Amino acid sequence: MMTEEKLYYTKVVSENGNEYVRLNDSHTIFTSEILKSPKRIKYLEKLNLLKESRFFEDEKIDEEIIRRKIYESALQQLTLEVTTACNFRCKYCVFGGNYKLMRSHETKNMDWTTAKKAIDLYFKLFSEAEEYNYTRKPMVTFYGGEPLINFTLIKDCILYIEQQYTNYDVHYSLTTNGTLLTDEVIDFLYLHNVNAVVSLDGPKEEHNRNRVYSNGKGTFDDVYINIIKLSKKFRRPVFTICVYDIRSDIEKISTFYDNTSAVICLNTTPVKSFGSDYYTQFTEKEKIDFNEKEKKMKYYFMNNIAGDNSKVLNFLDRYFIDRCATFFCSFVDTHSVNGKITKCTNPCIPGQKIFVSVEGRIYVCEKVSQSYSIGNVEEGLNYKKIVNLVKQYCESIVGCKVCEIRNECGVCNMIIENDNGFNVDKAVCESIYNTRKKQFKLALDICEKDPIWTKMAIALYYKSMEEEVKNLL
Amino acid sequence: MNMYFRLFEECFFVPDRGGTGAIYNVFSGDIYKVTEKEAGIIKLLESNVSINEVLSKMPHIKKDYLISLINLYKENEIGTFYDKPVYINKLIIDYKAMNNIPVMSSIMITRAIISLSNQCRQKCKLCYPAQYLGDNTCICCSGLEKSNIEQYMEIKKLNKIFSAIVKLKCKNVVLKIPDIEVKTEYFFQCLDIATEYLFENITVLLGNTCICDKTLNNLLNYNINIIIQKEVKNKEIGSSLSIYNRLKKIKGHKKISLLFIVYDDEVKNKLVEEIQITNENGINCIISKYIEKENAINYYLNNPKFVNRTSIESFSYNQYFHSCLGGLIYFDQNGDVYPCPNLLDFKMGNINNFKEVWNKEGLHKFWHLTSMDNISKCKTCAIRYACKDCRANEYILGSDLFKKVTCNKI
Ligand code: SF4
Ligand code: SF4
Ligand code: SF4
Ligand code: SF4
Repeated sequence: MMTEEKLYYTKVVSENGNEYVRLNDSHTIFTSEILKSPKRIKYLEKLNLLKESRFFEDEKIDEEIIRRKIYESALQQLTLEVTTACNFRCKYCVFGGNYKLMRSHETKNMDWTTAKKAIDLYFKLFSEAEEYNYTRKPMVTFYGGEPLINFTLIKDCILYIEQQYTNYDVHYSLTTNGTLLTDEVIDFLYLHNVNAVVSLDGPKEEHNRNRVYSNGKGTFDDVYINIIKLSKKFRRPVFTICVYDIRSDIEKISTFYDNTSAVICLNTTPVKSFGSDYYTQFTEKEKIDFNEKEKKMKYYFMNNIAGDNSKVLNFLDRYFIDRCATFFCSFVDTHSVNGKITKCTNPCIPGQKIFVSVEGRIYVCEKVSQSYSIGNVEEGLNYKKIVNLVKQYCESIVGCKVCEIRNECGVCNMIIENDNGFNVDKAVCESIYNTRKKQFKLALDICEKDPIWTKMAIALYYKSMEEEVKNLL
Repeated sequence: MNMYFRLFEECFFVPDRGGTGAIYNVFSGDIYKVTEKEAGIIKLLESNVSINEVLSKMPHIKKDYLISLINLYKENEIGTFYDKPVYINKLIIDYKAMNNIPVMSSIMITRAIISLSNQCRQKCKLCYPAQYLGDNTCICCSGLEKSNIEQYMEIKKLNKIFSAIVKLKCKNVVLKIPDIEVKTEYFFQCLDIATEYLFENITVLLGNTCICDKTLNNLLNYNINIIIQKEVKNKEIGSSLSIYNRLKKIKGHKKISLLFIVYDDEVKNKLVEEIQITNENGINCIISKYIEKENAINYYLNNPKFVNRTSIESFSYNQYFHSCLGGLIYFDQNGDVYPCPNLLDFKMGNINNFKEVWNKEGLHKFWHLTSMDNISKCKTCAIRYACKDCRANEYILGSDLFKKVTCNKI
């Protein structure tokens, strides 16, 4: 009975002073009025919106179950690390030495034999998985380093797939730093419908602060010229991602993006904090200044929310929705049985995405360190290793079973991996929890301000996500 | 103080074209109809207009009336007061978004109906050529099964079907067997195969045949639901009723349901009466009236519509999919795929080329296209997310997939 157990909710008070609860087990939001009604709480229990601890008990995991789950997820995408080389030395780069577990800058290229094997493996798996999910399309992404350093291989891969796997409508994408977009490259991307997302951190002075060549010189001018070319060829704005840190001036970035028709910033992300001491370089004062600036921006943003007058999202709209997007998804969990392999948190199942390193080894995704492979292009997925990995993961999150946000915590393989294998760091949990709470409040503030605008904006946001999701999975 | 009143997260106001509306409570399952006056008030309250403002916007409304109305809502626990505008995050599963986000979308079959044979020795009035319509056309043979050209589902195909639908998470399988006493062994072989696939529910629909004790006992050895069709042609209902007296003596009879097919109200009423008296402890009975096609529209127009209770799932699901066709797939003996056993004009493919069934204009699109929001008459009706709708009957009677001909609502 819930009365004896803890109620798994997060309570926050909005800007307007209303009190809300997030029932994390079912991803639902109520005003805290619900807590006053025993009858309504009974319904929450009866309708599985509050879960009993049974819901989070571990179940048997074996190779067959994992294989099935991977197939059900329909092999979301193949990511080929076509090169580990990069002509940039961005200051926040995960390969730049700030992240202990990640490799450092290298100059290896993937060879054709490896790439071909990876492609054949992926399509073999995909065709088997297709029967579990007929609407999915294969997705192939080129990753680096700077992937265009090995453009020849990218070209060969795409031409090979087009010739070999004619039955499939394949989606191609790559994220590039933008400097190697020559006319030849752009023509090829255009002709073969490759979605190129360019990293652009804002106007010149913002972008050049972190995104530099190895000689320290800023890269903005070179990138921007190419963005214009790319946009002309595709006859639409170029999609970009924008990374920021404590020293970023959100106001300037926002002005830049809203006044530059050649780009649409699809995603804003802070420099990754887990597994790095990147943020120690900032002083307290800088952090305070950043927060003040963000507050000011939030004020602008909130004051521009009104009705459904705007049909496009501007930079700040995206920036703030990015911060709390998960709270707008209405995917209520009414299940009585937990269908997830790892009952708490939400990692993807290793193998659900195929990330192939330059050497042809398969990893969970491009974001994890390359210390535990789950197969290789010769032998395919190694289900035994995957089962082991999942079991290790489950063991390291046993503590999550009684955590307030157990069913929706975004922790995954990437985050819990550290020097001593896998474990959940208390400090990480605290930061996740506090961030979520802040995000929850932001989402409520936006909704309170104007529910109609919010509905429209979220629809637009997800519509563009359909494009973006393919690139940033 | 300026007070606000909002319906709870689990309560939805759905307006009606006539100015009235309905409130769905997805916790309790209740649906309340509201008058035009109430609807006007709720609309304002739900858009965060304060109670005082409502009074000034609707000068013809008396304060006492408004207060007592709102208090009634509060007593019934469908909403409450707030001292400032508040955001109510309505409790809904967004199937539309799930379907549009590429990494989330997935096809889920909720129910598969499979016809194993078209051979039957019986002569039901409604059968072949199909001239009658009823409320339960899909759980009765409905006359579409029978044919002069003998056809049984090949075992190989059946296996193919099962393994295909299991992969699409199908949990409920319905097997149609018009006459189990011909080729009995074959049907049991089919059942053996079906049970190997570990579906959550397997149901067999048996036609109007005189089923022998041996067959019945064999059936009861399986962990399945059994529905036996029984046609009652005339007022001599005695012989039709002997079946449940016979069934009651059999161990495990709780798994059996009887589907009585009747053709007129007199027989129906007599049957209902008789069953109430003689069937006190037992067999689950469904009585379904079948009407000749040419009289059907009239009949439906003059009889009350059936409205289901609501729930989080159905209220959400029905906004994007058809309540019955959504998730449904039908295979005929050939392995041909249709949206339902009675919509045979819409062949979607064959089990031998199953991928084709899910192409751009595939079956999953059909599930969505036929949703009540796309039915011209229903899309502005307040009870459309709970109204029982048989698309097949409407199509047969109105020869249009998106029409509603059996409802006289203005
Ligand atoms: S472009 Fe990417 S890989 Fe290259 S240094 Fe910058 S962040 Fe690192
Ligand atoms: S916050 Fe920590 S304890 Fe809670 S679910 Fe996430 S990882 Fe587990
Ligand atoms: S059939 Fe359509 S119009 Fe008639 S009551 Fe039902 S939903 Fe309303
Ligand atoms: S639409 Fe539904 S109720 Fe009507 S015949 Fe088809 S399956 Fe049966």
